[in-house]
Amino acid sequence: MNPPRTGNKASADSHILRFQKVCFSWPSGEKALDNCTFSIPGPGLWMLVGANGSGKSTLFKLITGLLKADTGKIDCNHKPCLMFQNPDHQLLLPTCGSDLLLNLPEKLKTQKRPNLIQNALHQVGLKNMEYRPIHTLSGGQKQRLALAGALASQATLLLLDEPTALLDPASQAAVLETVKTLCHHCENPMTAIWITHRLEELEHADGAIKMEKGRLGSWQNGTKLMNRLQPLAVRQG
Amino acid sequence: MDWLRQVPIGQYVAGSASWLRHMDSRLKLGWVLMFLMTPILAGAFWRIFLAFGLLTITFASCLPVRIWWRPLLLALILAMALGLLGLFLPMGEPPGVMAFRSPQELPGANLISDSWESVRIAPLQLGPFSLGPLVIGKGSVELALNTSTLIFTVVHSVNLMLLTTPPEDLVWAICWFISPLALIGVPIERLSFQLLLALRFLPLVQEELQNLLRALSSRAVNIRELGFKGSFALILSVAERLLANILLRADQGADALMARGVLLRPAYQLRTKPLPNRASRWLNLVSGILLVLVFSLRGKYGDL
Repeated sequence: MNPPRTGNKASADSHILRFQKVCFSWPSGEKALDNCTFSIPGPGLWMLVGANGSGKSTLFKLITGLLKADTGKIDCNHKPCLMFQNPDHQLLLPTCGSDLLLNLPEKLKTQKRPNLIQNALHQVGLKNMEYRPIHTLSGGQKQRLALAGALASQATLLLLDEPTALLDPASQAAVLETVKTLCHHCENPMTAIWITHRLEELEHADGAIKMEKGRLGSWQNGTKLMNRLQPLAVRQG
Repeated sequence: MDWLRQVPIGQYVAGSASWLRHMDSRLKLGWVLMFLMTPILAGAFWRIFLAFGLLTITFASCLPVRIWWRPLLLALILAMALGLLGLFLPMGEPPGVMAFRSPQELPGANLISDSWESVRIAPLQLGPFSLGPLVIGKGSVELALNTSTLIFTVVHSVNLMLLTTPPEDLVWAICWFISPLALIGVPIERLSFQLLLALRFLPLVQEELQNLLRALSSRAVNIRELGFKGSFALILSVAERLLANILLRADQGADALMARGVLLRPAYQLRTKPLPNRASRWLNLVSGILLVLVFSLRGKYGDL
């Protein structure tokens, strides 16, 4: 594992996430992860590409603890937050503010809650929208609200499962820009692992990796991986 | 989501204009209960008073007209349609022989009671059909008045509350009223959380149905060519798909909840409304006193 560039000065021992020979099979016997070994060395935007069924979403479910690995070891030093492809699947309450409140720690003082909510909304460009009903938001706004939820939960590891798949180009750019800002320009840079099928998004990554048949390759420069995969994508049609 | 955006009836609309938004949601619920309950066994005067009172509240609410004119118009049309039905539908077949003798049999007797019939429209001949006679009597006028005012006050008062109260606040208010039931083991927190999840789930179900209908229309299905059996099979298959999609959404929602590590939150923790300031405290006090006053007026003059 040799990432091309990192978001900060992380040492080799202070990995944010490390998978060591992790295996996972579905009850049907189908292997989803096969001796998967990789690590995320530091904050930044890390992208995963791979064909459908290669095990990308399963990897996220293992990180969040929704699934348990059959064998191997998963070390995660940060609080993860999973973001789904369709934000409607994870925005569970009627208005923006209450959905964010659901993400806050239960024991947090009542007086501190409004500030945290407003900060989270401000960071994703949805200022003063805490009272807006969620069904009135556009797809891009919903995705950014889901991102605000991750911020409110004080998660430091974002797991983004094709967050731009259902969005128009303008909303895709807005979501990507927000995540990049969170990963690079904040006082406390976050770590984001981004699954994508849009190869052009790879050039925004700090590192990119290809997943195949439940195994991960090595970290590469996003643009290089994009250039390598694009001819294959064109050939496949 | 088009339906939800185009017909915002009974849905909260975010904003800050209007004193109704700053009123305590428990008081708003109390006012709505007043509009729902006090017409029971009340006289016509009280019902008309309530309808005009509600109209006054609407016009004085300072809510943007674009928010309430459509629901108000629909409530008025519905109330008037049901009122007209009540007005013209027969109150029942009159008995063949009246229980009392005709007053004309008594020479010099003065009939001081009003005629039972107010208006009688002779039978109308519409081609081969004969319509009527249409009789409007005291009973039908009373029925029309009761029905139309009740429908209007019930529909519009609830709608006005829903337009100006965030769902979280409403659920919290309901929980506050039923909180004594926790003493006998009713899981209030769980119920309120499930109600909130359901309120978010409703637009999703509506969206699923809309998507399925769009998918159907894009296939240019001709119902006439399908016949009864084919059409019925089509309806069944769409309903099956709708159910499967709804269950899938519910499953994904459950996954999201598990991923957040949250399985239950009390309603008061999910309220987004800011704490009441001095003005809203006065507003709550005045509206609370008015509510008590209206209930006492109902006790004294409600039968009129």
